[in-house]
Amino acid sequence: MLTINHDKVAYREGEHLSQLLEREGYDTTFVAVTVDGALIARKDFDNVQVKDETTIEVFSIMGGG
Amino acid sequence: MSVAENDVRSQILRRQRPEDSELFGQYAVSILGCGGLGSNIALMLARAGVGKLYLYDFDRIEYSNLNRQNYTFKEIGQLKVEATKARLESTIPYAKVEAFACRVTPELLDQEATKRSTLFIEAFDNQESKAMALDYFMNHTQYSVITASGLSGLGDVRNVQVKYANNICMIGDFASSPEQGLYLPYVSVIASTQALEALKWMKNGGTYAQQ
Repeated sequence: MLTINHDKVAYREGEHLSQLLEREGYDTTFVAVTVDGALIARKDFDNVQVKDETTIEVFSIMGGG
Repeated sequence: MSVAENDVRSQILRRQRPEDSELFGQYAVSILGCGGLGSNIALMLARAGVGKLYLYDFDRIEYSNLNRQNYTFKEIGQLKVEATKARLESTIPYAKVEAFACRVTPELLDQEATKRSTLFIEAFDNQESKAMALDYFMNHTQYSVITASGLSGLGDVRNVQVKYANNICMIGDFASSPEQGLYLPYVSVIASTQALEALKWMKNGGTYAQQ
């Protein structure tokens, strides 16, 4: 089981971070993501393989200023 | 700074702790964007006695800015960075401000902006620029950046988060979008929080206190 922003999400073996974010409905162009507390650069979303029991935080980048 | 300037400075900053004011005076801050966030943050940091401010924005003042940005009716059509610089200098006589009327790109950050300060405040309006700044500073961890996302509508301050991750501090509700409208009371909560985090970063010696 994974945790995304305090919600429980099913773990899928072999899934990359970008696939998980898309499965959860995020636009990967406009998010900042931490995996177990570490910030992940957008260019690495396709490379990071999500392990079971990981805690993920997703911060949506919103316009307006 | 001349003796007279120093005297004015210490009088203006009389209600701050002298050791804080002294410290703030040693730092330079770059503010990326001079809209609802940046125009207000710049004035807060100048008032607090921050040593040098660098302002970046390509845009000119228009009517729709006046509901939340720190400009006046008479300034319509002026470059935002020039109007902000003038406001800071007329409010705080010893403020050191440089204005750059240009679009902020990774190339500009690489070639110019990062030579001027180590602390950056992301105060852009549009989502693409915000993503660009986050991507840039995630790959340039020797600089610190304080970003804002989610500051629209008549928001609830209980939803505002301050998230620290390495060299990045992210502030906002991360959910509200400009379709909900942009209103100064909520925009300024986020602007104030960014300015507050900047001062705490200085007080903590150029790093975030909480991680």
